[in-house]
Amino acid sequence: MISNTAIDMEKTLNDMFDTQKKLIRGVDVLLNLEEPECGVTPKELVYSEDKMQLFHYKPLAKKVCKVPTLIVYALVNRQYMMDIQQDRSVIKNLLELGLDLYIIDWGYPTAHDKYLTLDDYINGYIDSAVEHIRKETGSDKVNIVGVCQGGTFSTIYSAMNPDKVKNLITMVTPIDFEAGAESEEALLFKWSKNMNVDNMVDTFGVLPGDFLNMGFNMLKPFQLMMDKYVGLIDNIDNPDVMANFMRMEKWIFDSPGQAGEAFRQFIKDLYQENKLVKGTLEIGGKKVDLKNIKMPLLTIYAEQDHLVPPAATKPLNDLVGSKDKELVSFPVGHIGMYVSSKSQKEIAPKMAEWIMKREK
Amino acid sequence: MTSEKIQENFWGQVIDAQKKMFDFWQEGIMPKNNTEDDKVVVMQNVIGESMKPTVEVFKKWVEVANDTYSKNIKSFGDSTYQELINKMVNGVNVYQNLNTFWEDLRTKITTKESDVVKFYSEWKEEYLKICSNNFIPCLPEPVQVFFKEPIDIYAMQTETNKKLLQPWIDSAQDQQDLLAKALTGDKDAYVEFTRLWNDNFGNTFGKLLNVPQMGISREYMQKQMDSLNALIKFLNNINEFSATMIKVNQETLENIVKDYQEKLADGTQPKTFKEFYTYWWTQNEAAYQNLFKTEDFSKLVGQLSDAGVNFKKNFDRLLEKQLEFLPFPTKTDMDSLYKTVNDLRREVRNLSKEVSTLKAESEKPKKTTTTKKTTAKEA
Repeated sequence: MISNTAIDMEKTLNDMFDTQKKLIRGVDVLLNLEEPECGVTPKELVYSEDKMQLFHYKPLAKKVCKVPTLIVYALVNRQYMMDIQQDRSVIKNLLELGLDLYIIDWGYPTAHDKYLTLDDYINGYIDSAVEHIRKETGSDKVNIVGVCQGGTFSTIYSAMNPDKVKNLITMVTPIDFEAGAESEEALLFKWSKNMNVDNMVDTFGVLPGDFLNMGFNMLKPFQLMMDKYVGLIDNIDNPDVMANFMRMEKWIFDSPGQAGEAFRQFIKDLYQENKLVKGTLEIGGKKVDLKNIKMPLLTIYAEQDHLVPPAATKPLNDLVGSKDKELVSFPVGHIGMYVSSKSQKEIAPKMAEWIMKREK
Repeated sequence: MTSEKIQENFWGQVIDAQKKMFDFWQEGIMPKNNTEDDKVVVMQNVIGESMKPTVEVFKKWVEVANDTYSKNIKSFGDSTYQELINKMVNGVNVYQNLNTFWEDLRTKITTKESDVVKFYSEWKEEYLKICSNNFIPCLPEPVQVFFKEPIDIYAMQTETNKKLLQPWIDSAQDQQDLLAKALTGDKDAYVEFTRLWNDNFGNTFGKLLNVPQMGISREYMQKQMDSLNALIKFLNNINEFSATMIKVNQETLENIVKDYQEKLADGTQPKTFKEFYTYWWTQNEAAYQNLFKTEDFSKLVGQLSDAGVNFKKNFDRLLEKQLEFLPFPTKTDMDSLYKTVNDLRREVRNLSKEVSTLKAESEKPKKTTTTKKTTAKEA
């Protein structure tokens, strides 16, 4: 029998009473929570093609960088993570630091987008966006900031169109998928190896976003499917914390489907065969040679990234032809790269400063 | 009765009850003699409730076959052939044996499938020997064909049934042992049991569901069978996946209990429920992370998702087949349209870019000419 001294009865009871009070107050907080607003930094739709939309942010600094910067986000989840809320917005921060920003919104693929390929995304939509920006601003080249999978796309685009890219920044971007799979924490990389992607794509056409979410949740099932919500009780009576939580929750499960053919090629050629690093990747019938990347390159990775492990990101700097290149890391996780206080205080300023220095 | 005696009596009853329970398990799932008969019984126990749908399919199949055979026999009915047979059976010893054989066959083939298997095992070779060596050559030539055909059919049927059920029979004891081990706490055993079950299913009833269909509804029936087969495979995969996950769960629970006892001894145990909860979930998360990292788990996830996708694919096909007479375009119809639209979309984009490039190029020489002219005038 366990002796009574094994349990701190007083503390346990206090915890219970505290929880009950919070839950009661939390009811009121939840009843009065408004629909979370994200991506509110002012912007204008300047170009669209099929479901892709290109937005231009209203500059917020007196002195604005002459070379426009295009942000290319991943197809997984939505780009407003970069502008999740006003006091935690990488976009707002970069604008205030003087960048002229454009961002691609990929939209939500539907059944008839199932045949879109990586070539359509990279040499189609990204190139259309770059062309539009060049035409609109009169700038010969643009800076590109690629985020996660969008970073892989940006890297490929820069290798295929080096004359159009002034500077390239990749953030938490998977490049070396084999090295990624070998690292301890990279479960997605390991699981992708045994995925019958042909069967999936042939069956679904457009892979449902929920399907991917299920995979993400499985990475840390207890934390992501249980403790996250249990822990919420501690703050359920705090309207600000709850509003932030709901905003993140909205983003996490706002998951567009994945256009089948592009998904097939991304999994097979990159996750399973690591063709980008091997130099055998072909997009639209043309080989992608990373050595063609000769523009300045800034590679940023998150030290505690469980989605894209540092091992998958870091090799890029050794594979490109750039002389001006820098590898920077921050002690955050994949999402912390955009929403943490470090992101606002250190990461965004580092990016802006790096670009401004290479304006000419 | 003193309190010690009451306690002693109580524990005696508990131990007795446990013994009875183990006896029950042993009788029910681990028969002591491993004869072929027992293996069949064991097999039934192992397959148990989970096999009901597939056993039903098999039973129906046997019933149909049996019915066909009965009709064959009836065709001799009141005919002269029947009389001829009776005479021969009464006159010659070997025919007597054959009659016994047939009687046995007719009795047993109408009973449950396990009896069929038993019957096949016991009689198959002897029956064929009797028939082919002794009986048929004695028949008038035109009659021989009527016997040869059912014999051939039976030979084929027994062989097929034997093949169909053989994997279950062969592995019955192994499955039994594994299940018994699983029930006594061996966490690997149940995982192995589900794997063996899946293999057996794939080699037996899975194949049955893949048998090509015939007749006017052939395509529809085929799709139905494919869909059913895919569903069963998917469920099997879920079973294996769950068993793997539960195994970690049980191991972690054991570790937590042991660890908690140790902590209790040195006073470092979680002091509140909140602390215990944190300790519990972090231990579990760590245990699952260790599982998730393995190549085996990666393969299992791949296998499970593939089985799920296969089920959806087959079910979609079945639905499309069911809906084809309704005035709606199916997914397949739409796919063809999407492909055309996508190809056109790509072509338009490429042409637009080409036009833009050509426009830009055509504007360049004009500017150069103007500049040259101006330069010339100035000169």
